[in-house]
Amino acid sequence: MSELMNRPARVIDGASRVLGGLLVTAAVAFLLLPAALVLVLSFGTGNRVQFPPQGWGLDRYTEIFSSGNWGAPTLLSFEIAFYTAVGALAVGLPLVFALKRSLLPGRQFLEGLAFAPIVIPISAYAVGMYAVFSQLDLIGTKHGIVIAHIAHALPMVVIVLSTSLEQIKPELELAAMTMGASRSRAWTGITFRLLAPAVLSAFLFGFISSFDEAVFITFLGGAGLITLPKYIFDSVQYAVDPAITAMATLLMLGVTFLMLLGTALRKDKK
Amino acid sequence: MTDTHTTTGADAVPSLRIRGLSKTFGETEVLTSIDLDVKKGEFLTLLGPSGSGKTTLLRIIAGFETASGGELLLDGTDISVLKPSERKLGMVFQNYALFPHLTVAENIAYGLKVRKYDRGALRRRVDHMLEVVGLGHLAARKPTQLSGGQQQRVALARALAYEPEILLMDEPLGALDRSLRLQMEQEIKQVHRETGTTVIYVTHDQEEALVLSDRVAIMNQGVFAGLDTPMNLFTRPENSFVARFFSDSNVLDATLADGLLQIAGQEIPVESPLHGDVKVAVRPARAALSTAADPATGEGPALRLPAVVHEAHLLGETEQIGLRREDGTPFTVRRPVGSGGPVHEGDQATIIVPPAGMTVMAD
Repeated sequence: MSELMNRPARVIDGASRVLGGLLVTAAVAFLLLPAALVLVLSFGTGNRVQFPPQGWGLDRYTEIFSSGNWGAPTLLSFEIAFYTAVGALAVGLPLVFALKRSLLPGRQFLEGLAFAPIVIPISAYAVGMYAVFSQLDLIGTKHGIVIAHIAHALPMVVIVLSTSLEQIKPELELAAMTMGASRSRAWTGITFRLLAPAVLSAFLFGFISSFDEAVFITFLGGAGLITLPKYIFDSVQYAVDPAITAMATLLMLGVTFLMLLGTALRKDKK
Repeated sequence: MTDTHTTTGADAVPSLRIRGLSKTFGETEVLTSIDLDVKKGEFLTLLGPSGSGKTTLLRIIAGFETASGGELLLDGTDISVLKPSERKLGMVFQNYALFPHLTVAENIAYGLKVRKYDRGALRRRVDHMLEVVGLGHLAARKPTQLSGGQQQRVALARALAYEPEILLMDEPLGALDRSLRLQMEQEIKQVHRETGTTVIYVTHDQEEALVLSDRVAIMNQGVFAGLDTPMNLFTRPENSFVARFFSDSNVLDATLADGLLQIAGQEIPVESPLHGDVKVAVRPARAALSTAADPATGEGPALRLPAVVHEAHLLGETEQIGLRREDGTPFTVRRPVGSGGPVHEGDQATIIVPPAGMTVMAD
């Protein structure tokens, strides 16, 4: 009896499992294939990007480091990403405490505001920023780009910090205070200490979001400011420089490493 | 309220003295003119339903909230102006509030470190506290690796390590299952006996209050409905709220004149200084049942109330029988299992209450 009832269920289960497996495999392949392809192509030789490559070697990598074209954009990207991460934390940290630990009136509105950059289409947002920045003479300036990138990075930073702060119970601070710790000692020794991995993680995510950003820089960078993503876009506009495969690979590996680090830091507390 | 405290003489020096304490949140009055003396070494429980103000009172004592008015004196010193860190109190939270990044030993050492104990004294004190709560073998563990009961023991050891004047406990057993709760009750009692610390304990569980406390303050809507030993609150409640909340008593309306209680058309002689409209409390175990199948042979004068059985269920050693009186008001009887014949829903019965089973109250 039970066998009869179980059998059809098991057949459906098996079929759906195969189908599900295929779907997952297809999705993963679709997501990873371009990345894998770039990785393979970066070790090719010759003047054109083609598959399979004419030969194998580290030509593309040596070219990046010897040509001198990539150095300045890379440095600028690092610089802007660093200030963006610092700035996003400077805005995000107090914001998160106001949202989660205070009774500030209108804090829901503030939270909505912080997440606005996610909701608004990025090119529309960039057009709006262009209008504002041109009034303020911020077009083509580093601090202008940093400001735009901070707005862009803020949602991620706020999410990382607030999910972590929500897990740190306010009672911990109160417990420390009843045990004789001053408010500042309880805050630094307990709350901030527990939040520290999330702060570092938020820093990395802020850094990545700026380092990888190509839309705002195109709208707001003017002629003079060329970050790494901008340089890659520019270089494929007229002719494809094969070296970008090597650059893309490095970028990919670097960002993946930072992402993994940031994620590991978030989980570290548990 | 009669003065029948078990602790008297030198012990009776109040450790904490509260006078006219009140607290309002906006328009709502959460605490109304609270007076309370907590004696040194006493275990006092604040018991009440949720929203009765018990946790607010505890948080004001701890310094997490400020009172809207009144005095808060610890050994004669006004502590209401002090920060939580300056009040020399210890606190155990319902969610334990252990520091997740510190080991068990480091958690216990936290208050000692803040107080700048020297190395040797700190280590001795931590070892002693670990021994008191029986967790020496887990000293190097992180709190997340411990069970709920073990975490609560760490919280207790941590709060007592620096020998606070008063230990505050906010529903510390609320998150534990029943068997563990009973075990922890005994351990808390044991630790209280060994350390002699003054304890103010908040709970909504009357059994916990009964087992642990020297005195219980029963709170209702921001005031003390009763403040006495568990025995007195249980056997001689001073009002209907205490009778219902603390001992699940039945409360009947009556009038009293010249030592004769007029109740449900009957006259029962009682000893009470009251007169006029009164309330009568009857604990479920002090009433007997007489049914057609199992007629009780009551001796002497007793209150007899006709009623219909509404429901019956087993509590364990006792069974609880819910009845409806003729006017529809409910009445509960508890009796030892097997002490009477079986009863069924719809059975006619007579509730029999001897005069000794009645407590006359003003309201």
